[in-house]
Order: sequence, then structure tokens, then C-alpha cells
Amino acid sequence: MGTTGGGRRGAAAGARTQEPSAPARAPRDLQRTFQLVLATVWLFDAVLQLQPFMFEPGPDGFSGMLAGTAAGNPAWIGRSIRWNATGVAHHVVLAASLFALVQFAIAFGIAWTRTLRVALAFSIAWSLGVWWFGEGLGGVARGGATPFGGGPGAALLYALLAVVLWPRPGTDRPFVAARTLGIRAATAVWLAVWSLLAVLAQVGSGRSSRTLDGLVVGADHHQPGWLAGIDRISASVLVHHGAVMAVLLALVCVVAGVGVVLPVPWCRATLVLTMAVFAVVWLAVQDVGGILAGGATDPNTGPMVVLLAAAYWPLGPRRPGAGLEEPVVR
Amino acid sequence: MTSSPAYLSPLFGLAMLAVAAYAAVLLVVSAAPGRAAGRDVDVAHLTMGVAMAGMFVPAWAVGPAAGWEVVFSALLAWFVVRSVRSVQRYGLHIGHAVIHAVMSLAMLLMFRYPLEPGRRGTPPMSMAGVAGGARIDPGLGLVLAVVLLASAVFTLASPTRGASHHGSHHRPVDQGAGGATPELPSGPVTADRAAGRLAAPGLEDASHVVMCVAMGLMLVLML
Repeated sequence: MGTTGGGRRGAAAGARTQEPSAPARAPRDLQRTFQLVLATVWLFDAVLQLQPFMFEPGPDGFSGMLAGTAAGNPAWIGRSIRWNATGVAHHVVLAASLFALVQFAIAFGIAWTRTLRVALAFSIAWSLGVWWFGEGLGGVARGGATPFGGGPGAALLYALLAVVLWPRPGTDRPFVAARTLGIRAATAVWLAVWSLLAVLAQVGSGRSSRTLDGLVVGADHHQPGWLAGIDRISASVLVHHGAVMAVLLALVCVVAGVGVVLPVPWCRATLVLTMAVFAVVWLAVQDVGGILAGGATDPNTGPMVVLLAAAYWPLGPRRPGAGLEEPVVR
Repeated sequence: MTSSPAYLSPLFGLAMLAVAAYAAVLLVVSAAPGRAAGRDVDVAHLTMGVAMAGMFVPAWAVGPAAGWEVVFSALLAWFVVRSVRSVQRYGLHIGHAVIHAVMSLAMLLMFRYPLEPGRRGTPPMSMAGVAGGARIDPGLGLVLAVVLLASAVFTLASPTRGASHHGSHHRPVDQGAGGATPELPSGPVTADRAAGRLAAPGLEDASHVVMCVAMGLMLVLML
């Protein structure tokens, strides 16, 4: 959108305002737009951090939530998580306030161009810390990181998105992620992500109908009626066909991974499929990250996967993986 | 029953009063002839600021909920009409009128479906004393919260200062070709110059950002 300044500052100097005809639209900087979407997610997380239960000690509070992620992890990882949770429990108001402040700072830091790089760099470090101490490594180390439940952890995707959307001058073509990483590296990252997700859908408890059903049932409490209705359907499907659904999800992950090297129409089709599947998983299994029931710290992986897929959307006639040439820097 | 720390409600309540006070100052400033742009937004921020302060700190609440519902219904209608006109004039876009329509809708819903004291996550910031039965649809509340938080981020990132109040299509007649805001007159501080400083587009955007974050927080608490 074409932009012209329009504050009352000019008006204060005696000017009147006018409404010119619609100005010419400049091409949208998609990398910047996606950075701002990421900032919005961080801001949302900061607001979630201010929920009253975050300031409560005990098993139902923030520290209890952190300590709960230690279960099932190797002993030394579990000890580190419990050590952090104990520290938080002793100063829960201070810790929760600090955590909220950090997330506000990251969100506004990304939004403000001058602090963009610092904020993104800090968000990577913070995300990895949250992934370890707040998400228990996303369940990876205990074999419970199925993508249905948000494996390998939303925080890991926050860090990945900060890398993929790292600011770099140039064109958004052939796809936004290539602007920062180059086509070759961006494609390699994409393949690695989807290979990991495909594996996680099949290993550990990811194929267990009981575990998958438990994901939905566990998130069902306090949900609004319409979402509880969806939960009943998804729980029924998962409890009867959990293993089949896990295989199908792994197949979708494989298709998503391979899609990026296919011709543009096929690439777009696989990306649409990927976004649709993970949107459904986010709604029907992850229960919108548990936000509507209270007790959520982030929206889980659904929106982050969709944002990541959007960063790989082919914008030109050339397919993303073709030629593996580097993007032109303006 | 859980509770937020003691500082949180007064902090946000004070921020809301500051936004309301700033909007009141802008209304006074804009009383000068030929300076009508943005008055509707100032009225919206003034009323929203006062109303939100009462939500964060119940002791600061003024007026009956029904009265506020009438106010925000009127603001909602006004901004919807402005949004439609803006789209008719400039084509499909999300202008500041749309965002203020969303804010008005959010305020209307927050008064229509107040937080019940004692409900999950309830508060000190609770509109305590207002008995509530129905609850705002959490899905709608979530969407509104995300839209408002996105508005805060995109406003902060916008290269057009003041767009949150005036839209990106307005510009002063004497503005330079590059869109730069004209220099304020030099010399002794005059009333006009002081008013110009108060009405700086950056401050207007900051007040909008604070309002959006506070409203987003309240919506999340009401989910």
C-alpha cells in the first residue's frame, strides 16, 4: 500500500488534510510481512504469559507446568528441567513477569526495524531455552514427539522461523526462505524438517492409538462446546485408527518434503495439502494449542508450520528447487 | 482460585487512563479549524481507555454497562460505514477504520459478556461485581485478540507514522513529495507548536499500540 505520512503535526502547523487518489501500490515485502506475523505470535505469547495461573506456584501453576515436562526424559535432562522449575517456583511472580517482558521485547524488537536482527537473534536463544526447559525437548528424548501433539516442539519452530526469516536484502523470488538461506540451503532445511516430522510420526508412542487418543482427551477439558464436539470426533478416529492416522501423517510429511523440488503447480498443491492437514491437526487434535481452555503458553505448532510452509510458497514460474542457484541481491 | 500479581491491573489501568487522557488532549488540539482528521479515533480511544481502565480496576469503573454498550455500538456502526467508504474509494485494504471497528466490537462484546468473578483465570481485573452468565465465544474472542495484537505489531512496524489514526491515504496539503512531515515553526514555543508536539504521529501510534495490547490481554483473560 502506498503510504504518506499524515499526522496532526503537519496540521498543527496550519495545514489542512486532503485525501489524494489511491496511490500506486509498492510490491509487498513478504519476508518483512512474515517477520511481522512471527512478531504477532511472540506478542500473543507475551499476553498468554500474563494469564493469572502463570503467577501461581504449585502443580497447577507455571512452575508445575514446567516441571511436568521433565517426566520421561533422560535423568540428566529431567534434572535440569526440574532445577529450572524449582527456581521459577521460588520466585514465580518475578519469573513470569520477566518471561512476559522478554516476549514483549522480542515481539516489539522484531516489529521495529532497527532492532530486528538483535530481536531475532535473541529469539533463537530464548526459543531454544524454552524448548529445553519449558517443553522438555518437545518430547523428542522420551519418544513422545508426534507431530499430532506438537512434536518436536513449537519453540523449535520459532527458532527455525527466526533463521529462515533472517533479514537479507534481495527478492522474495523464487520463495521467501531462499532470500535468506539461498535456494540450496533453504531446500535442505525444508527436507530436513519434513524428514524429522515424518520420522517422529512413526517412532515412539506416535503410532499408539492410546497415546494419540490421550492427546485429544487430555486437551478436552474446559473447551468450548463446538471444539469439544470436534474433539469427540477426532478422539474416536484416533482411538480406532490411530496407527493408520500416524502412517497417513508421515506420508503427508514425506509429500510435503518432496513437494518443494516438484514443478510449481505440484509444489503449490503439496503446500496447500500440508497447510490444510496441519490446520486440521491444530484444530482437532492440538485444540488450538489449548488456548481456548486456558493454561496455554503458546498456540502450539499448527500456525508455525503454516507460516513455515508460506515461506516456501513458489512466487515465480521456476520451481523452488530447480537449478539451486542463489537469489539475486538487489 | 488463581490471581494475577497485584501490580498488573493498576499498571494496565493506568496505561488505559493515559491513553484516554492523551486522546482527550488530541480532541482539544483538533478543535482548531480545518483539523478534523482523526477526531473519531480520538473519541474511540477516549471512551475505550476510560472503559478499559474500569475493567482492569473495578473501582475505577464509571457508568452503567448498558450505557457503554450504546456508545460502542454507535462507534462500531460509524467505523463500519467508514470502512466501507474507504474500500469503495481506495479498493480492498485493511484500513484503520476496520481495526477500530474491530476494537469497538471487542469492547461491545466485553461489556455484553463480562468476566464472571471466580471463573478460571479470573482476576483482579475482572469487572467484579458484574454478574455474568453467558460467556464470549472463545473462538471469536481469540480471533479478535489476534487481530488486535497484529494491529499493534503492524502499526509499530509501519513506515507511515500516524496511520493508526488517519489511515495511510491522508496527508497534509503542504507535505513534501517524499511524504516527510513538515518542520514545526521555529522560534518561541507557541500554543500551536506545543499542540503539534503533542499530536506527533509517533505518539498517536504508541497510544494505539498500548490500547491494542491491553484489549488483547483482556480478551485472552475472557476466553
